[in-house]
Amino acid sequence: MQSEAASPSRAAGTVELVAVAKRFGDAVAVDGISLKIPGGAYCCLLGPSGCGKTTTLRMIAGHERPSDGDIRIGAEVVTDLPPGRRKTAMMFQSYALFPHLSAQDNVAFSLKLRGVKKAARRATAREQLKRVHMEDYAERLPAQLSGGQQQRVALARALITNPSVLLLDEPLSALDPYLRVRVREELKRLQGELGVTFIHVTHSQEEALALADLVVVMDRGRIAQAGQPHDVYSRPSTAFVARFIGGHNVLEGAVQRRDGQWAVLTGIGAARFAVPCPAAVGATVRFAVRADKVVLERAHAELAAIGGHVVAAAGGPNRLGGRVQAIEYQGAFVRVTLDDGTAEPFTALVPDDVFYRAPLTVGEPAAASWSPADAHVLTES
Amino acid sequence: MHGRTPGCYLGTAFFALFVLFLYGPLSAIFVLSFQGPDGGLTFPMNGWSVHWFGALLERQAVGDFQGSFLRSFELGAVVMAATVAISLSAGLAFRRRFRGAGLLFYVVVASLIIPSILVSLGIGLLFRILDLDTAWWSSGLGAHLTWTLPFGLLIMFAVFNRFDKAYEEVARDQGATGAQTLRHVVVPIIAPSLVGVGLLGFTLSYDEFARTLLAVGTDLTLPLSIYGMTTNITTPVLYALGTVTTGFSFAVIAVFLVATRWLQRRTAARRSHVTART
Repeated sequence: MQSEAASPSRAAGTVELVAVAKRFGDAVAVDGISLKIPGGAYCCLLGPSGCGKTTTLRMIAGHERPSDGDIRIGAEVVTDLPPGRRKTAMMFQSYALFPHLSAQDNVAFSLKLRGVKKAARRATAREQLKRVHMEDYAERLPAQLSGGQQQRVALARALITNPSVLLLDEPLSALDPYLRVRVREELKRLQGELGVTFIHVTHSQEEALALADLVVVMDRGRIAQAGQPHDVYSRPSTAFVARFIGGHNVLEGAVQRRDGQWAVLTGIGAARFAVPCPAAVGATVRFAVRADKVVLERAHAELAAIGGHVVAAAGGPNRLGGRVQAIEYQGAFVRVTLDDGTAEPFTALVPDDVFYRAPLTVGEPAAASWSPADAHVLTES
Repeated sequence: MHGRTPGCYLGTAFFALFVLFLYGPLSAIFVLSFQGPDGGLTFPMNGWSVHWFGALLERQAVGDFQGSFLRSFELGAVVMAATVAISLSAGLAFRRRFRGAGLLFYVVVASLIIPSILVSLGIGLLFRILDLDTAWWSSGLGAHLTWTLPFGLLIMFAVFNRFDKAYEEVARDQGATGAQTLRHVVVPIIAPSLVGVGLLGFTLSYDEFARTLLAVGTDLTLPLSIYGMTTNITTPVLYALGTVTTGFSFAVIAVFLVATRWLQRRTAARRSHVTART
């Protein structure tokens, strides 16, 4: 019922980027990206530092002007509009609360600009502070507030302008891990209540997966993959996405022969894998295997020595041998890394009860196996 | 106590010398200004009185002391206001890289390197060529600004170097125009630095000597006036003058200290008020 009432405003929160590029001198920060974020969505721009995610956010906010391309918010092309006229509000990474104003006057700032009388704007600001549970701190100066409290005030200050799109630049990075998870939940709840589009920049894949309806993974100024968190995690498009999103092993090999829908690959160290893939014989294929889909067992020393081992028949489990390099207890899972003779160690996440039934020790030979159906083929980026 | 190194003693000795050089002569002047009516310019004291402070008010005894004091005060106030306004504008301008910014900066800062007396000579000469009379409020004001503006600009550079641009971006995000951002965000945040620039401008102007010398015209500023008196006054009234002007300087400092204390107390009151509520 709420969503029906809010549907016109949801459309106003649609954000569309059309071939948007940003260059700083010779450096390309954003390399012609196109993206449509539906109104009312929670979108996370995810990527390592320098991937262009913050620049993209700042262009949507109007704090950077695109070198090329257009930005549309709702029905309006906003490329040339100043930040104050875009129906966006931005929450800065440093929060940037005005140090000379109390919490309520920070929140009331936009009302002051519009000439609202002091008593009226303070009353409105207090209501807004109540929404983020900060009404008791209305008269404090920013220097008298903790980081988490400052963030709430910054959020209230952004929301009081009734934006259609809220832009958040690394909003959780300054908080301690415990608070981060709580604030994360609160952001998601608030976004659901308001029906406002949230665009949230982060370098934490965990944060993005937990919050987003739409995850946009960026790499070197381009969009590597955009999709629902579950799709991105279970079917990363490129090796970059698979590595960045974490929890994946990236392997590669040349197609040696075909067997129905399967391609049988030869990898480094004579390892052989079967993957579901239409590639022709001779082609190089990269694929990802989720660490939690891997089964580990103790193996013979020879297996570790060869570095790799093969399925007899396509369709049977793929196996890989190596020596246990590290064991990390993580609660529900035990993270075991194997040195399989390649530059990148192979990781398996083993449920803790399974692991402790027959615990491995560091230096022991072990074999990892997975069902060929769990091998997910990657495209070249 | 342990940990006293030779460097520590050296530092103490140096500091003692510093204090002696600064406050020794000052104390002598202070004491001598209370000479008896028949006392001379040197020790010993010939009785004690406030006779020479009274003599300050007589024009024939000291020349136009009150006039030059007022002139210096007014000039200092105008220089202070102009230095704050112009340094702030220039500081804002230099944040955007405009063409010739580097050259302009060097031209301005060169003013600190050129010997002051030459600046003064040049201004006096220029006015003569243009057939204008030099005066403390025209050529004198200009001479003082050549001294205070480079300092003001350098301070503004330091201020804006540390200024977080995110404050302005938030203001624009909230719909503020450039003027509103300046008035409601930038100026309040850098206000303490602006007060500092103002005080510096006043101080530099109030005791300026070399740049004023050939650009001041017939009505003298206080430092020039005092210098004139040292050559033609032979009574302790000179010391009374020194005591009064030094006292004025301390009074100015006291006013600012009290104002700062008051501001702090107001903030503290606000804080304790909030704490009581929570």
